Amino acid sequence: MPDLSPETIYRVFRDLLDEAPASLRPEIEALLARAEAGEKTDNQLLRLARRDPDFLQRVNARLEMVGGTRGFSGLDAPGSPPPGFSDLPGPPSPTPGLTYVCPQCDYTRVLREVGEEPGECPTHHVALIPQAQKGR
Amino acid sequence: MLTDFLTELTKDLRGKWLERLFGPAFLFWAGGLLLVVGPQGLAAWWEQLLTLPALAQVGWLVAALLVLNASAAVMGRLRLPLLRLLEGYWPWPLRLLEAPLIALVRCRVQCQRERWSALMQKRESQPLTPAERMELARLEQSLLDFPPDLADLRPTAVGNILRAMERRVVHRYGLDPVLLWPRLWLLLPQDARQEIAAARESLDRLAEAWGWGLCFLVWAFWQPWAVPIALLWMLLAAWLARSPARTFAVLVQSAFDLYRWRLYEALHFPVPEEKGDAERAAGQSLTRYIQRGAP
Repeated sequence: MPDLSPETIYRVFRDLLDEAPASLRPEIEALLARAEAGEKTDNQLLRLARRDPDFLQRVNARLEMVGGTRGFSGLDAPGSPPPGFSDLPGPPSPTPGLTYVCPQCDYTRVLREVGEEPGECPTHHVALIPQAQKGR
Repeated sequence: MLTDFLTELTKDLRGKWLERLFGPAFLFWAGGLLLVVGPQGLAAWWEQLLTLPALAQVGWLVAALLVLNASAAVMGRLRLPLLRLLEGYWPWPLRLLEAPLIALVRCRVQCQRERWSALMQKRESQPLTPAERMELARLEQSLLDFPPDLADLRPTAVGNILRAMERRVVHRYGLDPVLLWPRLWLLLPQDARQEIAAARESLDRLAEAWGWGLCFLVWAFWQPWAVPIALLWMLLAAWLARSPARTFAVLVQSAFDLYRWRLYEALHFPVPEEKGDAERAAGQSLTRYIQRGAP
């Protein structure tokens, strides 16, 4: 995916300057002025936008609209891939399973999920049925 | 001259170039050469290279880089077939190994499911001990890696992890994820696509690394030691690939859990209002429409 150039970031911030919160506007203007003077301030601008979640959302939406996906993902480690999803390290707590029983005795088997084959009763060799169906 | 060239060449190397130069392709070529000509032979080659005129040195290095880069590019193109091999979709005669390997996996999964069922039943009547709770959590985690229906088992761990995800979507929603994935992909939000693409990239890289291990067997024509090294390499890559395979599987399944409604809406099918059998029937109808052109 293409990274956005600093020029694109400056353009987006210039476009959104009127929509920026009043508290951020002077700093954005100052950073844009430094950018015009040749200094690289794109990361500082992105960092600044982080202070206001609504404005940040608008910046990211505009950045996506102009063809890139940098936003904040590439801010902390320039050049590296964006930090992605990772599993939580803990084990999930087991919720109750699907209980199947033998229609002729008390043999019970709990299935983990839909799609598992319930199998048959080892004593009567008949297919197990959902517990709710027994005694109907 | 050679040192200057290397310094200049590596000065700006980043990202993919570094990966290509010191990734599995480099291990394949460097390891193979080391095995075939031996450490002394390699040192003698290097010494001989240093005695060549500067232009010849650069020529040799450029040629080596081209070979390295071209072979890495070719292997990059083979990621999907390599992933399928890693999943256990093997050609003949490897296919003959499928049945015995699947039988071993089935035996293990059946034992784990029996134990899981016993612990769940015990939990209904009395509190589990801390050790049993831990065992139950371990089993819960471990059984996630296998398809619900044992008829869908694959002979490899990565194959089972991916197959489990595919079959879960079928069993729960009646949707065939393999068939519908391109359609759902186009409907996913940008962030979701990025996450899934990143997970797939990690998995593909390990499939590629596994493929390099497979290629390493070629060196066995010159040096039999290449066989155990290649097998170890492949086993390590396959073992490491389990984690990105799980991440990819959980993200794809989550995409179906969260965004499958968009498929119905985009295809102008009525969105199922009830879960369970009604939704499965609607999902099967939508799948059939995509596959056969008729609901």
